[in-house]
Amino acid sequence: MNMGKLSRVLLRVLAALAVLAAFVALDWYPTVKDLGLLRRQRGDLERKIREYAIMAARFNFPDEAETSLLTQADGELRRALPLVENDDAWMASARAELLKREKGLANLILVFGKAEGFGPGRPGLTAWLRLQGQEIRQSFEAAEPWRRYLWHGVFPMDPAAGERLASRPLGIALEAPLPVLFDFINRVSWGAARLEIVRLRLEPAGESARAWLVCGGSYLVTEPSPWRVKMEHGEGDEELLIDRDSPLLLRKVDPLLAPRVEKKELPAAPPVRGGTAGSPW
Amino acid sequence: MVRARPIEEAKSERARFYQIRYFLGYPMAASHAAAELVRHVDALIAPLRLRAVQIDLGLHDLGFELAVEVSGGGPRDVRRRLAVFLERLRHVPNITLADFSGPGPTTRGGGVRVFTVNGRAELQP
Repeated sequence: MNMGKLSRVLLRVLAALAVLAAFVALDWYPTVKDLGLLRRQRGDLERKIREYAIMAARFNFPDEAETSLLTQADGELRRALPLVENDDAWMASARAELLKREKGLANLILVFGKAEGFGPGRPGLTAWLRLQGQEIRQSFEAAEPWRRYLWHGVFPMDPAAGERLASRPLGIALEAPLPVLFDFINRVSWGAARLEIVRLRLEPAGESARAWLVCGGSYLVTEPSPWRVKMEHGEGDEELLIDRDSPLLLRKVDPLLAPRVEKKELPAAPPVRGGTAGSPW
Repeated sequence: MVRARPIEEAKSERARFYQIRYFLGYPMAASHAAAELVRHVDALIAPLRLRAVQIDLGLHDLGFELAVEVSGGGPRDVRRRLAVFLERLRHVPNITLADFSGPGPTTRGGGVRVFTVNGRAELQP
C-alpha cells in the first residue's frame, strides 16, 4: 500500500471519528444526562407517593370527640369578636373598658382613634406625642387592615348575614413610673377588644417614662364600614399558614400542642443593679 | 381519589383549629412579650442609660430597637461596656438576635455617645 492511499484511509478514519465525537457530544451525552435526571425525578416522585400512601394509611378521621373540639373552636372564635353597630361604637367600647380596667391610671391615659387625634390632654405628654407625630402616623397606617391583617386565613370568607369583619387602629399614650408602664403594657390586650400591639415606643421623662402604643383590634360590625377587612390579602402580608403536608394534620387535634394563653402578670421587679432605685434608666 | 377529598377536608378543619387557637392567644402573648422585654432591658441597662425603646410586633416574633447612651470614657472603655450589655441582652429569654446597627455611635456630643441596638425576640404564645 503506497503512502498516498494510507493517508487517505487515515483521513477517512479521522473524519469518521470526528463525526462520532460530534454525535456523542451533541446528542448522545445530553440525552443520557437528561435520562439520568428523569430517572432521579421519577425515583423522588415514587418515594413521595410511597410516603404519602403510608401516611394516608395512618390518617385518623375525626371522631365525635374531635368534631366537638373543632366545633367548640369555631364557637370560641365567634364569641371572641365583639359585635358592634358601627366603628365608633367599637372605639368607645375599647376606650371604656381600658379606662375601667386601669382605674388608677384613668386620668393619665390618652386614647385616640387617629394619628393626630390625641387632643390637649396632659401638656408634657401631648408635646412629646407631637414630636413623635410622623412615627405615630406611620404606625397607624401600618395597622390599617388593607395594609396589614394577620388573620385572613382564620376567618370564614362569609361572616353571618348582616355582619362584616372589620379592624382598625387605636392609639394609647400615658406617662407613669416604669413598673406601672410595664404592667399597663402587659394588660393592654386583656379586654374584650383584644387589642393587638402593632408598635410601642417608650422614653424616659424625668422620674417617669412616657409611652405610646398603636394597637389594632378585630370586630364584627353591622353597618357598612371603611375599616372592613377584605378577605383577599395584599402583597407582603404575613399569614398564619399551616403546612398542609404536616404530619400534625394526619392525627387528631391535640389541644396540648396549642394550649390556651392565659392572662399572666409580670414577675415582681428584680433587684435594681446599678443606677438609682426609682429612676428610669 | 375516593379518600382524598374527605382527608383534605379533615386536614383543613384541623389546620383551622390550630389557627384559631393561635389567633385567640396572640394579643396576650404579644403584649406580655413586649412588656417582659422592656422589663428585662430595664433590669440590665445600668450603668448605661436607655434613651428609647421601640418594639414592632410581628406574627411570630417582635423586633426591637434600643437607643443606648454611654457617658464618659474612652473608646476602649465604651466598647467594653457596650459589649457587656450586649452579652447580657443576648442571654435574656426569648431574645433570638441582638446586635448594634453600625460600628459607631448614631449620635454623639457632650461626652455622650448613643448607640442603636436592633434585635428580635420570640412571642411564644
